[in-house]
Amino acid sequence: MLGQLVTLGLVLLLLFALFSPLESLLWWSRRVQADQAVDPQALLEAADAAAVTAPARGPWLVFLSGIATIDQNEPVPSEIALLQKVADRVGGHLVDDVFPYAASNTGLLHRRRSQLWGVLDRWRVRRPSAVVPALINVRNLFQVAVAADPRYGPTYGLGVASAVVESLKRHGCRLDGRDPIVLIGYSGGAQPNCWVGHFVRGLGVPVWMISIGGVFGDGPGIASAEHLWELHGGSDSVARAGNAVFASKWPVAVTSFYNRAREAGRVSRTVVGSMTHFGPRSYFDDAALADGRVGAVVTEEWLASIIGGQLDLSLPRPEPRPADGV
Amino acid sequence: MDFWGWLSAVFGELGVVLALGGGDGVAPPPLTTALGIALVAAVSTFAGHSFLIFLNGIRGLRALLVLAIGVVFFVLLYLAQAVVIGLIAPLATGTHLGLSEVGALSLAASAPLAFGVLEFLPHVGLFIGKVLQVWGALCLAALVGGGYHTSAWTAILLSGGAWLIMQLASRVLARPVGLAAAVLWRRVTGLEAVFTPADVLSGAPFIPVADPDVEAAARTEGP
Repeated sequence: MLGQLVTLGLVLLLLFALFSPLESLLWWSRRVQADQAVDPQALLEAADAAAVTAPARGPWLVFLSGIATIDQNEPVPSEIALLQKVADRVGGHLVDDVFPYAASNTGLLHRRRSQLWGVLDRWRVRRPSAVVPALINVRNLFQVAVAADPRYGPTYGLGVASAVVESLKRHGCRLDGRDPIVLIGYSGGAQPNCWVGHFVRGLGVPVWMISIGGVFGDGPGIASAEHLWELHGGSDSVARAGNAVFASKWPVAVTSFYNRAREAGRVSRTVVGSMTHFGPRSYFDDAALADGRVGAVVTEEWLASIIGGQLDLSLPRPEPRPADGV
Repeated sequence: MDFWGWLSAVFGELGVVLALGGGDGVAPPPLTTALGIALVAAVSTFAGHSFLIFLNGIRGLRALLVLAIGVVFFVLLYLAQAVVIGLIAPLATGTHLGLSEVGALSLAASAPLAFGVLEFLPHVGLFIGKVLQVWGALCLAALVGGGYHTSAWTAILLSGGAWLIMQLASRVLARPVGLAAAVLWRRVTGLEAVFTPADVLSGAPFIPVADPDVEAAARTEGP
């Protein structure tokens, strides 16, 4: 009986995985059939968003959260609080309303099956150790795999990039190339950035990337970014597993965007403390680490140091630069 | 043999080929069974491709034509492989097989593509695709070994040689075959197709993406 249930579960999981690329492909297909802009540059330039705040200057911190996120209107308070502190310290602006696990930027609570996702979300809040609500993580993890697949990644990445550009405009970013865009991806949120960076850079806007415990493979956004900082916790086995799973990060993959950027000195990998991937003593948590420091404080200091000290904000407006090999 | 008997034979033989005959080589199945194996492989592979066709807005007769052309090229690819094996294997083994036997041998080697739909899995599907290619090469070697009663190493060399010749042929023949397919498509549908020679010889279906200006001109001017 148990064996049959396990088999049924695996088959359902397989079907779930097989259908996962359809969402972004359908988004793309609908644009084509509606004669909407499909050229990446035209699509992003046409991204129409009335600014709700006055245009502003300064670095723009675009945050894409991990696979536990369920909707752009339901951010994790500890993550946003930390990033807002960083933004305030560096005189920048935080953009935190992009759902990175859907090309259409439609959060799970704004879909036809929102009730199901809502039930699962409330369930995991009441019972954090419950297994069934992990379906949210599984669903988002499959979208990370979609983004990491060179067959599906371009359409997926273009969708997320479109949402990022719309959100930047809504927050008052001029996108004229004078203000750096810092794409910060936590855990699985780092993979969509591997495409977003490429498309945003195509608008002539310099892009920097920071991954916090990032689980990501490859993408032309890494080549397009001025620099990629990978911040890992010493006890983060999930991020280490991600490096092992994605072949593009193996030393033998000399032609991957990641390894070519690393060879060019545009990737910095740093163990920033003994943080775990999520939960207590993780990057955004207030619990003390083994050395007495607080994970959230360490993360904040690193981000502020990178964004406040190492980005060249005096860059003249650069020309759009296609990513190497794309 | 009735339909269910045939289907049972197809899946039974599919299992034997996938297991490489337990390492002892695999005798080529009857042609009807081999065609059944190739059909299973084609359905699995094209199940995924059909989504792409649908998502590109290709519907109705046009969709059926695209899938049908894809299946035809899939089968032609394996038959072309059969011709190559039929030409080179007798030189090395001294054994001659009939056309239907060589055809069945080549078609049966498509058995691993019964899992072809898994290639559409995001990210891991790329790895699975590579595994299926290697598995297919091993199945071909097992069938060549069993069909020509030759040693494993000879079978591997023969099937490797056939693969190499197919690769060379695909580069030489790609352009004329691709042009012929595009002409055929235009005659059937009246539309231009984005159809690369590589698409033809890879056995993948093509997605006819019509240039809207050309499509408009075709509607006014006719085929």
